[in-house]
Parts: sequence; C-alpha cells; structure tokens
Amino acid sequence: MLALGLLAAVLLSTGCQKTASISTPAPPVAVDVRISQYVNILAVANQNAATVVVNLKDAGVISGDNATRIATYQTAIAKATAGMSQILAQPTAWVDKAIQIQNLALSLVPPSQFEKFGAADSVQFQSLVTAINAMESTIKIIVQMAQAPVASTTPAGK
Amino acid sequence: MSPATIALVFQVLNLIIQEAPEMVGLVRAFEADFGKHPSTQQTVKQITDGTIQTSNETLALLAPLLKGVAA
Repeated sequence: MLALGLLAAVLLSTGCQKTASISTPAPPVAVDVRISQYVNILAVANQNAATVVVNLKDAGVISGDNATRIATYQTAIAKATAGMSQILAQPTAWVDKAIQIQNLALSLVPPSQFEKFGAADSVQFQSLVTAINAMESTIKIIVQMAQAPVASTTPAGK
Repeated sequence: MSPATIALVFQVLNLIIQEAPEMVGLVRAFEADFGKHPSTQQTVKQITDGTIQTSNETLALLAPLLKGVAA
C-alpha cells in the first residue's frame, strides 16, 4: 500500500512538472500581416493622440508652438502609416518592402523634450506623453519585425 | 478559408514547432504556403485600406495646427 502511494506521488509529481512550464507562442501569422496590424494600431493611436493635442491646445494646456511641434511629428506618422500601407499592398519582393518600411519607420523622430511641453502635474498632458511613448515603442516593433527574415504573403521572386 | 481559420492553423503549427522541433523545416514550408493564401492577402488589404483611411482622417484633424508651417 505504501509502495502504491509512493508510486502515485511520483506520477503526480512528474505530471505536475510536465505541465508547469508555460510558454507564450509567437504571433501565428505571416510577417506582413503582423506588420500591417501594427501599422494599423499605430495609425489609430496617432489619430486618438491627435484629438488629444487639438483639445489640449484649445484648453491652453500646451502652447500653440508646442502643439504645432507635436502635430508636425504626428503628421509625419500619419504620412508614414499611409505610405507603409501602400508599400504592403505592392506586388514587389518582400525584402524590398521591408527596407522601405524600415526607412519610413526610422525617419520618425519625436520633437526634442516633448515631455516638457506641458505641466508635469497635468493628467491630460501626461496621458499624451504616454501615448507618444507608446507610439515610439510601436514604431520600434515595426522596425524589428521588418528586419526578421521570415515568410510573408508576397510570393517569392516577385 | 476564413482568416480566423488560417490563424488557427498557424497556432497549431506553432504548437507543433514547440512539441516537435525536428519538424520545423516542414512547418515553415507549410506556413509560407498558407501565407500566400488569398484570404490572408485579403486580410492585409482590408487592414491597409483601414490604415490609409485613418491616416488621412488624422492629417485632416492636424491640418489646422499646421497652418503657416511649411509641409
């Protein structure tokens, strides 16, 4: 009986160890589908942030000059996301698309010290800072994904 | 085949890669073929069309803030 109990304990222990490691699988889609999704996320985040900038400028939370600086950056993002989408839709080789997308993404640089354009204790302005930081992170992810030599929906050799 | 079904297939492929690493080459070839499926390409087109529309709306939203600034 004791031996049976020990055997059951060992089996249970082994079973627990087998299921203990949980890993997160990579996104199960082709790289250009993933990039198009991230570009879309960036475009939507930029649109939401644009509404915030307009409102903060109207409310006097940020000056007209600083609103223009942020709007210039956001305009560059909007043009880049539209451009990346057009590139993704082209029937050219993936390697060429990837280089063009990387170049567009790397050209996006936020205005210097934008986090000081408004009051540090303004919740609305800090939300905008967070949104701009998130967009920068998304841009970095797009650059990294465009560097990965993996399968795309573009036929090889085209 | 719907995009959701294709996504499910990719999830199964990733599971195979984790559980049977020796099949990676086979799975990668299969993955590339599925990536070229018309439904997947249609998904990219739908997403990119939406992105272009959103981007254009954002440009219109920001235009008043850029008055007097050279494009």
